[in-house]
Amino acid sequence: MGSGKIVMSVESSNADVDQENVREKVRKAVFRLMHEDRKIPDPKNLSEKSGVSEDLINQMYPTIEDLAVDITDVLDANLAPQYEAFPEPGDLQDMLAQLVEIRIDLYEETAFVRTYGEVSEHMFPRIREKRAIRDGLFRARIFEMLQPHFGQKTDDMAAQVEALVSWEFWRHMRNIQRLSEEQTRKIIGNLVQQVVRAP
Amino acid sequence: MVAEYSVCLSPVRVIDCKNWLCSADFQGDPMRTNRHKTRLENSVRTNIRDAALCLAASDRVIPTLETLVQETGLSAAEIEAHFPSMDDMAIEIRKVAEDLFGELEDAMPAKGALIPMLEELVVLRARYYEAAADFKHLGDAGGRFLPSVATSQAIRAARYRARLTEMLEPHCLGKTADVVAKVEMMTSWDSWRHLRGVQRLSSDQAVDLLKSVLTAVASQVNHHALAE
Repeated sequence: MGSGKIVMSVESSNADVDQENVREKVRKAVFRLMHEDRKIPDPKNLSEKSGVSEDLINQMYPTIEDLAVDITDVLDANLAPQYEAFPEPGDLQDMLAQLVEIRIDLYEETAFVRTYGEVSEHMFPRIREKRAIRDGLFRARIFEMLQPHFGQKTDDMAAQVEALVSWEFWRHMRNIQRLSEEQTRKIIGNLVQQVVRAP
Repeated sequence: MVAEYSVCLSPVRVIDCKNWLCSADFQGDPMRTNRHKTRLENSVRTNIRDAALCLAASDRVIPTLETLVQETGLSAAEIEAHFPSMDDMAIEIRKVAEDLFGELEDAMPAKGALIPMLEELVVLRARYYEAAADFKHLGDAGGRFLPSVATSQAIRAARYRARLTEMLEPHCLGKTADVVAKVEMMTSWDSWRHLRGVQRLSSDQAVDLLKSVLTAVASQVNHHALAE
C-alpha cells in the first residue's frame, strides 16, 4: 500500500534554490520522523533529523501549521494530475467503474502521505480549508457526471457515490479491515453498482 | 459535530496543582498522610489526563510534554512521573472512553429481518459516533504514533466484525464475508467522519444515506437468497 514515491520538491527559481533545498530537507525529515520514528515533529527533532538549525526552522516555519501547509502545497502541486483525473463522458456504468479505478489508484499512490495528512487536517484550519476546496471541486464533478442520469435524485446519488469512492472509505478497507488492493477495488466497485441500480 | 459529553472531566482541572502539592495539609500520622498522598497523586494524575483531553479535543493541539507543562502548570518531571510516555497517557484516556462509551459502542440491533436490523445498526452506530467524536478523533491521531492505541483499535474492530458476522450469517447464505465487509465499512467511524466532516451532512442526512446504501446491499442479498 502506498509506493512512497511521492516527490516532495517543487520547481524553484535560481534565487530561491538554497532556501528551497533547506525546506526540502525539513519536509523530508517530517516524514522520516513520523513514518520511521513514529514521533510528532517539533523544531528540536526536525533539526536533528534534517541537519538544519532550530533557529532556521523556526524562522522558516513559525508554527507547525505553517510547516503542514507548506508540505500540503508541495504535495498538492505534484499530485494535481492525479487529483484532477476523471472519467471521460460515456456510458454511466463505464464512467462509474473508471471513477472507482481512478480514485483507488490515487489512494494507493498517496496513502503514505495522506495517512499522516489526516492528523493535520484535524488540527489545522488552513489544511481543512484546502481539503474542503478540493473536495468541493470533486463533488461538483460527480454531480455533473450523474445529473443527466438521475435528475432530481442527483443530490442523493452524488453523496452516496462520493462517499463510496472517498479516501475515508478506502482507508477503512485497507487499514482497518486489512483487505488487499484487489479486494478493496472489487467491494467498492460492487457497492457503487448496487447503489446506482437500486430503485 | 458536537459531542454530548464534556471532555473536561475532572473538577480538579481548575486547581493549581503545583501549589496544592505544596500545601501544609499533609501533616500528622503517617497512615493518614499516605492516604492523603495517594488521593492527591490520583487527582494530579486525573488533572494531567484531563488536560491532555482538553488540549486535543477542545484546543485541537497535540498533547506533548511541553503543551502539558503549559496547560497544567506542573513540571515535566512531575508529568513524567505519572505518565512516563504518551502511550501510558493513551491507555489512561482509553479507560475513560470505555467507561463513558462502552455501552454505546457494544450496542447491537435485536434479531429480526435483515433490512430493519441494518437500519437499527446505522442508528446505534450514529449515536455512538456522535457521542464519542472527540475521543475518536484523538484516537485517529494517536493510532499513527502510539502502539497501544493501534492495538486497541484493531481489537475493537475485530470484536465489532465478529458481532456483525454473528448478526448477518443467518441472512447471507455463503456471502457472509462479503456482506460483513460492506456493512462494516458503511457503519464505520471512517464513513461517519467522511459524511459529517467532509460532506458536512447533518446527522440525520448521514443516517439516511447509510440506510439507503445498506438497503441496496440487503436487496442484493435478498435477491441471491431468492435465487438460491
